[in-house]
Amino acid sequence: MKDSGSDPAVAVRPPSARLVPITSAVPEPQTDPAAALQGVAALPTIHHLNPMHMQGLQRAVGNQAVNHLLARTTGSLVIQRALLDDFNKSFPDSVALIKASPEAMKLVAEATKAGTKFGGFSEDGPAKIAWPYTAGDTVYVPKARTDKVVAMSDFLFEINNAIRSPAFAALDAEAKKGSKGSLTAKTYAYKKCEQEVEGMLRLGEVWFETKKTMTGGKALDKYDADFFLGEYNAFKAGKKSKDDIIKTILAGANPANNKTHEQIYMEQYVEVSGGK
Amino acid sequence: MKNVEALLAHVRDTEIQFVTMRPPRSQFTTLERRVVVTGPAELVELARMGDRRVLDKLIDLLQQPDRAWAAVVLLAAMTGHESKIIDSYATSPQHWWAALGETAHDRWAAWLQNIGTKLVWDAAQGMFRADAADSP
Repeated sequence: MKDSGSDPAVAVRPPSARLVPITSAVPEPQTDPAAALQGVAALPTIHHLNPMHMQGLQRAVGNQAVNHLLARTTGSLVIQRALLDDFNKSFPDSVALIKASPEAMKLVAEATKAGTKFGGFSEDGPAKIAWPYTAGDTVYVPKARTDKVVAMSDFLFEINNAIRSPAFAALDAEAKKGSKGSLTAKTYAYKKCEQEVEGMLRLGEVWFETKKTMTGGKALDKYDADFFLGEYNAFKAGKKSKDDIIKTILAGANPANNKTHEQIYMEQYVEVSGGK
Repeated sequence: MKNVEALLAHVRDTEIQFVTMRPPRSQFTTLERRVVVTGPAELVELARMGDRRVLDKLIDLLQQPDRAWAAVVLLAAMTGHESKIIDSYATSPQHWWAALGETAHDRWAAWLQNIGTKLVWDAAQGMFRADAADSP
């Protein structure tokens, strides 16, 4: 007789007429672990348990326990897999990079918890343009993105924003109150930019981690700006504080209209407050 | 203008669909988000016509409470002006009328008059642009 541990398909004892194989007594454990558990609990102790199904049941129950634990701590792992699985259907090479970065996986988990979905190619989405965007809670990445790093950057940038959308919305809600609210045009600008910078630093950390896992050397530096790696490195090295980065960005000029970013944010405040 | 009139008939709050998005190549999610009309097909066509006269017609519609939100969404999509307002009311358009909708007609009429002939159609961007750095 083979050792059942090495071949779970072989039963320890042959089934007898009095013993009902567990396979006929309970549902397939991997597809419905809760029902399988209930089935096992209801069985009389004299039942013969097939080792193959015992192991399947252990796996299913173990997975279920881990999922429950992760759902309590970081959101739903089951849904996280769905978000990544959906993105994987269109951009498998980018998903492989995401999985190599703990920070990227954390972002995906948070996005999942926030209800973010992947809707497919941008060109086929509601806006029908070849540019990444988010419509409601659904992120789209253009099929024109044949570079796995750029596609990863687009995806993470958009889900990063989805995570921050409640914070952005809260700032807009406060701005709508105008002078009766807690924000001035200047503090609105600062806080909006602060949210942007927090997102930037997270993307910087993703690329810092991912770059180490890739071959390509200096050729990979061309992606640094997409992930704000310069700001991240300066922040990590203690050369710049978050406040420094925010103020630098606010003072920067928008080439489209020669206004500073702070001016643009302050104009947004005036717009949404109706000048009151 | 016959075709435009037929398209304008679809400018209704109950019909318009849109998304807001960061402009191409922008690294900031909250700076100058663009409004893109996504449906129905008639309003997508209207937004992409590049016909300056459509702006006047839409501004007229700002005086009709049941059509004003749709009109302002189109105006923002076609000009970029007040896009932030659309973005901030995108999930609660019912609050827009009381806050900023009642004054929208006067605001937009003044803006269009002020910007005058500086507006030019940018086919690549699919929207009007003010053809001067000192535009309002």
